[in-house]
Order: sequence, then structure tokens, then C-alpha cells
Amino acid sequence: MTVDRQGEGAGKAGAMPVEALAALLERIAEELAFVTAGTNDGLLPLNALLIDLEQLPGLPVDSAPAEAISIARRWVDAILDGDGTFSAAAIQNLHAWHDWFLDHLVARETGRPAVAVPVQWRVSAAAVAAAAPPPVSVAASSVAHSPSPSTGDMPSFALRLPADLELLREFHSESLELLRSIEQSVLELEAGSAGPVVVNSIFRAFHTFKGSAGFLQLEALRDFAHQLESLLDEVRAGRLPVGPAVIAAILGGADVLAGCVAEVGEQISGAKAPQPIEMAVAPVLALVRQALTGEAPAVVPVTIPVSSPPSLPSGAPAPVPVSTTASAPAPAAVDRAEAFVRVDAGKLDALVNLVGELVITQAFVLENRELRGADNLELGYAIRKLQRITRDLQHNALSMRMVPISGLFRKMSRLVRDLAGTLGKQARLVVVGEETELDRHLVEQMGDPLVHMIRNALDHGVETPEVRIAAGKDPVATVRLAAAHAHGGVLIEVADDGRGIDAAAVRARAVDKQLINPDRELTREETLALIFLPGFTTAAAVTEVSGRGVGMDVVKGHIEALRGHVDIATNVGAGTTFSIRLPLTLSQIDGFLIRVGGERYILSAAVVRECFRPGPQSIATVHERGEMVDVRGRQIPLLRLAESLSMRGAASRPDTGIIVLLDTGVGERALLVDEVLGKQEVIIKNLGETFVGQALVAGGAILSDGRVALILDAEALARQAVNSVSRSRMGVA
Amino acid sequence: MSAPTPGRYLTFHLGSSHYAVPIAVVREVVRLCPITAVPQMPDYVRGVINLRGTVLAVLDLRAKFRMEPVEYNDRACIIVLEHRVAGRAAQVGAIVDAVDDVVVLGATQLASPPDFAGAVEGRFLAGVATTSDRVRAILAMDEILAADTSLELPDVSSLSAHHGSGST
Repeated sequence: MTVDRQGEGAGKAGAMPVEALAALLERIAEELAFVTAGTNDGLLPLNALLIDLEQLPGLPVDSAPAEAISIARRWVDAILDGDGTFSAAAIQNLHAWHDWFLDHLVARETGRPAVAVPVQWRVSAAAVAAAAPPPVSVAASSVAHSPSPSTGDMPSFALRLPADLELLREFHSESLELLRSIEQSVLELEAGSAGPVVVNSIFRAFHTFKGSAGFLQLEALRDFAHQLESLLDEVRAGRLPVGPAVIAAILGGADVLAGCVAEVGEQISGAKAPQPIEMAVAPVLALVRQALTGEAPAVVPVTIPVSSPPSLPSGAPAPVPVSTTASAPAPAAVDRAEAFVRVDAGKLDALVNLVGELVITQAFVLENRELRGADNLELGYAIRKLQRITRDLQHNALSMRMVPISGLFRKMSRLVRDLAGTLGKQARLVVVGEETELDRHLVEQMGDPLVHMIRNALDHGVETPEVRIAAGKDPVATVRLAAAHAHGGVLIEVADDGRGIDAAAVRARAVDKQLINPDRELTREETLALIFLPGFTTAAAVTEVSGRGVGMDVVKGHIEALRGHVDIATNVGAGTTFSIRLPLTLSQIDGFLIRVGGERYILSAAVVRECFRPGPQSIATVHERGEMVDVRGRQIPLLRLAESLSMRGAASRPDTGIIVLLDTGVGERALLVDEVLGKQEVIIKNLGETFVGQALVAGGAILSDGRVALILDAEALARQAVNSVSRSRMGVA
Repeated sequence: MSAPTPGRYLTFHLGSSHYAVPIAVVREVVRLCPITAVPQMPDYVRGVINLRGTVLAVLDLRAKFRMEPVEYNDRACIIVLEHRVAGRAAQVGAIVDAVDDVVVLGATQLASPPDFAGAVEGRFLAGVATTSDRVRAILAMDEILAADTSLELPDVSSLSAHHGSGST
């Protein structure tokens, strides 16, 4: 079986994927813990994990770990070929194998001489595998590690992998931060609002970059950073004014460095084979020379200096079309970083997941009947203490994963600048509430939707300066990006003061595109929501910027996948605001546990207003609107959960059931259930690919008895009911 | 279509129909446990279980293959299968009447699936394995799991008699 897999690993010799190996070894250790002699428990998982190990991308074919893996594979194969149960000797061997492997990895990481594969394993493995020739690839080693000579006059550098792996990792994450701060500072510089502090911070950033590159002996990278640093030094000394040429050189330089850093990232993660990294520095160095001498016409590149840049007259600084105003002045943020520790994101996620498991396990232990029945003050005290510590631990772990949204917003300021230039428009970006914190995953996932919405705002919303002037508006449009905590979640707004969206035009277009029936009646909100339909686009002409076949439907889908919602508010002539509501975190919710029939479900406690037993006269059927419940004089639509979920054999009766009043995004709903079981914090588990498109269920959670309960999306429940009412109405008509 | 790769296969049965899947796609086999139903799914999607802290979707293979439902006894198992969805690895559980064995199938025992007169369902079979005791259908799990309807699988045991006679 191993023979046909040789091809996959062969081309990828290089750095040892230590972390991935360690993660798989840990899972193997977990499985081994349950293995007992004379049974087959854990045999298939072990086999599968060993196959995973063997196929790990980046694992050098002729390394000791690879040999050890193939040995263990043969052991397990031998068990599968035999009676299918573990012998005591086999278990002992596998434990020893695991320990050897861990030792080996630790030795590698710490620079100690790594232990070779024990000889007796090779012998026994060979004996076991006598029937089939061992699948060892010989050709692979000659293919790997052939550094291609750098072509042309492009400087290049190569990473010393795996020797410098840890250092490079640090260098990589540090560089990303430096580049971000450079970009932000340049935008401030450009806005003209910045003083020597900003110039200094750019200088320091290039200087730090140079130092780190030099330390890692990445000469080409170091030399290039040095050139940029020298340029900044001139500016800092007051010998060179800040003009478009300087800014272009800095941005161009930062782009080249960013390209290199990205490449470094791919090579250290094992996504790419180690190879020399070439740097296209010539265009940027030309810009630096021009900026220093001031002779040649200064050029303002749009993003990448290689693409033919439009030239501007030298001398007086050209009018800068875009400015950026950040709510918090950047200089204050300098040097604050010292109080922070950089942690691998994967480790943080693992910590949060483990804490989640701890909370569930604790609940499981505390549910134990003997423990509950125990009449012991000391035990009771210890349990309460344990619960408090666990709760604090959970809050702390979750807060560690919260990051301010500022990083994401900063990327957008560059986008606005570049896009406005491309489109011949003028725009400034105003950022509000960039210190708002939310789950790191959410921040990452919101990048694409935000980019798309800002593209849309600039392309379709914002008018050209001439049109704006004619309309009596400021020729420089304002795009506002705001974030704030609201309703137990986060509210993000993307607003422009452009031409707004004309509901009548939207409707006409939707009819034209056959997205809706011409005689369908729609409210203004419903009409505007049509822009979220697939295949809808309001731009008369497909433009270079937004006309890529990706529409607002993708944005909406993306946000809803994050359990968020997006709304539009628009005024023709005055602008458009998209409001995105997101949960604070994707990993847990304050759950409200209910029961219908034999199943338990979870609702987000944030949407539950109150619970009550309906009085005998409080439910009435209203013509064409279905059942309504009277709640202190207000008529609220009734949802029978058993019916909403099409549960067979379960029908809650109003006289024995209980009503949970929900405040959903589409209005209040009275949900009829059999029983309310209480509140509980739950970890949200993804249900996986099988249930993609299942709108009612937002995820699953494991309850203290080990069973899975589904988390229901209250808004989807409400919407479904609306749809079924309108469907039945159509059926009547 | 080429014959399946020789190697280790996990064998199981549903009633009198016998099947095999390559062991490389099998993560593990767990005992049948209480399943949480998920509303508004096809009947062959039984719901989800807690597999050591992760939520796993569970399919009923009998329903998926349009067979009569039975009351599962304590031999019933969930085979945890690994398959690819849109290029990514995903796991899903499949309920079977009972798991039989892990067997090594050689090239002489394996054949490409017979041509079922161009029946669409033919693609759900990766091949046929003939051993001394019986004929088993080797399931193309990726294809089967990607299909979002239940399926009528061709009956291999009846076809095996003229298997090789080159029907069209």
C-alpha cells in the first residue's frame, strides 16, 4: 500500500514539519493510551494516523522520522495481517516508538544531536516486511535542494532551513507587524497631518527590518532595507522634503519587502519548497534614486512600482487625492508593544478548545449522582472553587483570542487610497472605533466582505469629483468605517456619502433580470434586499474594480456564515450605509436550553426576552397571518417549534407548553416549546459539510451528558415561518 | 475504469449485501450510540453524534441505498469515513448492520465494475471483489457521499454470474 504513495512525498523534501508531526504524535499517544493487549481497540485510528504522518507535506523522504513512520506502518500492517489484535509486545514497541519520536523531535528543536532509529526496529521491521520490498525512495534525495542560480541581476536570498526555522518564524511575524506600521505611517504622512514622529517610526521600522535580516544572514533583504532606511534618514534629517516621490519609494519598497516576507512565510510553513527568493528591487531603487537626487520626474505608482506609472511634474508636491484620518493618533501606539507576547495562533486555538472541553467535562463530573448526593461541606466548597476557577479560565482564554479590529481597518485605508486613484475619484476614509475587540477568526473572515463592500462603495456609490461638485457636495467623498460593541455583539458600519441606491431602479433591474415577478409587492426594505440576490449588480457597465462576477450575494453569504446579518440604509443623493451585526466570538454562546418532544435544542440567550405559560384565551388565529399570541396587548406571531422543525409525533400543546419570547432580527416571535431547561454556556461546534445549506441550525453543542444538542438560529426560524405564510397565501390566491 | 488498487479493505454488510471500502478511507469504527436528529434533512441523514468532542454527521447506509429499514442490534456500527469535499478532507459516519473483517485483496481478486448498461449508478461502485466465500461491491465512497440523494446501487451478487462475459 505504501508503494503508490512515494510520489507524493518525494518532491517536498526540506524543512521538518515539526509542529504537524508533534500534533499527530499527540493524537497517537491518546489512541495508544486506550490500546490493550488482545483487543483491536484503536487499531484503525492508529493506522489512519500513521497514514496521515506518512503523507505529511514537507516530510523529508530520507529522514529518520520518515524511516520511523514506515517502520511503525509495517508493525501495524503486520497486526492487520495477523489476527487483528494487539500483542503486549506490539504495544510496548509502539510506546517505545512514540517516546523515541518525541525525543527525536525535541533534540532537533533544541539543537541536540538527534537519536537515530534503533537498529533492532529495522531488523524486526525487515523481517515483518520480508514478503514485500520495503518502500524506500532513493531517487528523491537527489532532486531536493538544488539551489537554482539567481537569474539576471535580481538579488536573491535563501533561507537556512530547518536550522533557522524558529528564528525565521519570529522574523516573519515581526516583519508583518513592521510592514503594517510602515503602511499606516505612510498614509498619515501622505495626509500631511504627520510630523517627525511618523517619519521616525518609518525609519525605525526599516532599521529593525534591516537588523533582523542581517542577523539571519539574508543579505539581499538587508541591503535593500538599508537603501530604504537611508532614504528615510535623509527625510528625518530634514534634507529631503516629503513628496510623492518619497512616498512612492517607501510604499514600493514596502511592497517588495511584503512580497519577500510572504514568500518566507510559505517556505517556513512548508507550503512551498525551500528555494532562493528573488527580489525585483530595480524599479524601487530607481524611485529611491529619483527621490534622493530630485532630478528625474517623480513618479507615483499605484500599487506596484513595476506597472507603468503615470508621471507627475516634479518640484511642488502634487495634490494628494486621498487622505486618511484615523481616530486614534498612531504615535501613541509606538513602543506599547513591549507589554505583549507573540503566541502561535494555533496554540491559542488549542488552548481555547481545551478549556471548552474542560468546562464540558467539569459539568459531566458534577452531574455524577454520587457526587451530587455527597453530603460533605468540604467537597462542596472545593467544587465551588473549581467552578469559579474554570469560569475565570474560560473567560481569560477567550479574551486572549480577542483582537482589536484596527488591523483590518488599516488595510482598508490603503485600499481606499489605491482604488480612488484607479477610479479617478477622490475619497477620504474615516475610521471610528478601531479599538473594538472581537474574535480573531471573525476579524480574519471579515477581510474579504469588507474589501468587497468598500470596492462597491467607491465604484458604485461615490461619484466623480465633477458630479459631486455639480450636486453641491464636497468633491472629496467620505467613506466611513465604524465598529462598536452593541447588543452583545459587534456592529460594523460601512458608509459612503455617494449617490445612494435608488429602490425603484433596483426593482426595475430585478424584474429585468427576472429575479422577481413584475407584479410582486415589496416593501422598501425587501426591495433593497434584492441587491443581495445572486446575479444582481447595479453598475450599468462592468468596471475593472467590482465587475468580477462576485456580487453582494457572496458578501451576504460570507457574513451569514459568521452568524451575522447585514442591513442596508440608503438615501438617494446622500449615501448608503451597510450595517453588519456580528457575534463577539464564533466559539461559544450563552445558551438557552429548551426541550420539544424527545429532543433538546439551544437558542442564543441573547435573543430570549422572557418565558411564560400562555393563558387559555391568549392565542388567536388571525386571518392570513396565522396564530398570534397576546403579550400584554401586543400581538406576536406564534411559532410551534415542533412544526417549524417538522418533528414527527411531537406537538406541544399551548396549555401544557411554555412560550419563549424571542427578539429576532425580523421582529418578535413567540416560540412554543414543551419545557425550558435553563441557561448554559456552550461551545459551538460546526456540524460540517453535510449540513451546509441547513439554515435553521447554526451549529451543535455537546451537553454534559455527552449528547449533541442543536443550536437553532432564531432569525432563520422566524423567516421560515414568514415564507411559509406567504407561500400559503399565494396558494389561496 | 481501472480495477481497484490491491491492498487492505474493511468489509461490512447490510442485510445480505456485502461491501468493502479501502481501509485508507476508514478513520475508525465506533459502536452505535444515540443520534441527535437534524431537522429538514433527507431521511438517510440520521443526524449527529459526539465523537470525542467533535460533532460528526451520521448517515444511514440502508436508507442511502434505498433498502428496507431494520431495527439495529448491538452488532450495528458507525464506520467513520474520510472523504473529500471541495478539495478538503471531511469526516462522516455511516451506520452499517455489522462490520465483518479487515481483508487483504490481491489483484486477482479485484475487478473493475461490470458495465451496467451505462447506468448512472455504476459510478458509485469502484469495483468488485471476489473471494472464495462471496462477491463484494467495493464502494466509491467519495462519489456516494457527494451525491445528495439516496441511490439505487446495482446488485453485484446477481451480476457476478455473467461478470466477465462482456455485457454492454
